[in-house]
Amino acid sequence: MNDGQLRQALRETSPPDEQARRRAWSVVSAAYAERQLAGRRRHRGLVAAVATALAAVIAVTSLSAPRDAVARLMREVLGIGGDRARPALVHVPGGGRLLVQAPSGTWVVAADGSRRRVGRYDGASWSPHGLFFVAWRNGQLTAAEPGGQVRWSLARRQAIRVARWAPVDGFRIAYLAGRRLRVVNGDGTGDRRLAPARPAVPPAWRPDKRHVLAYADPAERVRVVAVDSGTELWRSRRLPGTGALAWSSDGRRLAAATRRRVVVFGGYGRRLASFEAPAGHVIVDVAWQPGSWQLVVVRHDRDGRHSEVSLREPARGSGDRVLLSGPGRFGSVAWSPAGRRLLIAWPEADQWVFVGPGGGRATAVGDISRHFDPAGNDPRFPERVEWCCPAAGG
Amino acid sequence: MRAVGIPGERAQPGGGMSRRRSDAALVRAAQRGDARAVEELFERHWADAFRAAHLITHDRGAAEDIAQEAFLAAMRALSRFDRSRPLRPWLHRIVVNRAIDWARARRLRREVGPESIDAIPAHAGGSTAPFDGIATALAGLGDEQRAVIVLRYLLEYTPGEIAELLELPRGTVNSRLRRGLDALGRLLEETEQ
Repeated sequence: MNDGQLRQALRETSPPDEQARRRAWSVVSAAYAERQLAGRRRHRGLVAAVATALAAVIAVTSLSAPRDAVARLMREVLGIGGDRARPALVHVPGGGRLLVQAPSGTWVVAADGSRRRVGRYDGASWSPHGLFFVAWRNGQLTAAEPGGQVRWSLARRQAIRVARWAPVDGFRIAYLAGRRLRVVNGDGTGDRRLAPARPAVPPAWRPDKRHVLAYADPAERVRVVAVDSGTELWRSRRLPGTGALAWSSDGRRLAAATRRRVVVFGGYGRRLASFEAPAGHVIVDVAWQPGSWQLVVVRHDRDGRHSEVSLREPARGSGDRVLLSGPGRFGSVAWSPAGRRLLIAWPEADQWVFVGPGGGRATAVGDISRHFDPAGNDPRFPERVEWCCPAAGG
Repeated sequence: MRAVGIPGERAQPGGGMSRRRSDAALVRAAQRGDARAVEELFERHWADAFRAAHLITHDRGAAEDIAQEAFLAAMRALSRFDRSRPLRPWLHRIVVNRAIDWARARRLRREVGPESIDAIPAHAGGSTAPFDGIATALAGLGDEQRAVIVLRYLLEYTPGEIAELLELPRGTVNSRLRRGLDALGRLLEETEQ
């Protein structure tokens, strides 16, 4: 075969299909549209100011107010939710897929909004490209495909609390069994102990190929280790009450959140920034915007009557920019793969709210509990959501 | 905001020839908010991105994801993209690197099942079309050899451009091309026998 024949053969052997092109275009055009929306700065400050001012009114609402009353308030005050909330999850704004952990089990939501329950697990987490997910139930750790087909599983005597798949290459999975942090290869082989750890704090992989893991040890220090060699790269001083760890997408920042404070570490554990929640507030989650050093912080007041989701760049010492505030407690947050949308779980309103980091109008999807209640008997709000890349085959 | 349609579905302009804009001009227009420029860039580069990813990964689903990620990366970088740099190799660098990563990850996860590469015979489906064996033969090469062959013969970069794109020494690129073509030739001979 000569060069010309080889060129022709390569060109003819791999025609892209029209449906793939349409799917990709819908995601790319949405990303471009969001970029354009983020550029409209003149309304952003006004939206944030109105949200903050109105939140002060909402904050006096009784915690015992019925759910429909809360939703009505949000419709009236912030213009989201209720009648304007889409009645069904018709598509995932910004594309991608969601891995949803609900009391009824683990679900995969495709970009077009279709849902499939993939198992009765206690928790689950995506593999780096969404080809698989790792899930746990009691002492069983399972790797499965998004359609639910199990690839492998292993059993341990201790209950498994959480697992996280290493990013980029997917060669390692870290999981907490009892009070011990363990690592297994992505294909289920080579299960081994790593170190004692605090079971309530999910470990966090640095987003590169070097298999570097951050976790909280029993002495409440943050440790960063290279799991393949077992080498400890650095450890922090004691950070009592650490509840969440999050790496920026470039792996150069690690945020450790306690209930009252966020500490940001740089390379080799250098402390770059630290900030406290406002008086009377509790921090519940943090998440870096993909591709940036902007950090989302989710917090609520001590009584759980009022919550806020804000965005800030910690190392610059910039103030908070409030993305959403409202009554009750917000749940978990999840960034879209491109970092253009943030999903905020809002159990009190039974909604998922999608906001852009630049402000602008929020999109709310209501009746979330019913979407994940197949028998229609016991609709309960999902506990956690992870947002991943678009599917193979849509 | 103006609705952005699906490329190819708009009516063709009646009569006259439209001058094809350069990538740099399209990028400049996209940076200024011209959604049609984004459509045109997508239309122009999607197929090659998909083909390259598919030939390296041998997986259509992965190819779709990887090609899409490359365009999303372009959207993220749009505001700061240096128009003096050509877009095409920038895009293809992302596609090829991610495709190689994906192929490595799959191989080391030891995928098993009827859909694995190893289980696909050279004449899958009994087709005797002369070019059907090329994808399977290509899949029999190492990831890096496959990538440089795709860059050279599908995307038509010179060895020097490939070296720059993959940040490799020129000699390494030449060596991978030579060995890859030799191996490809042997695999194709086995297929034809």
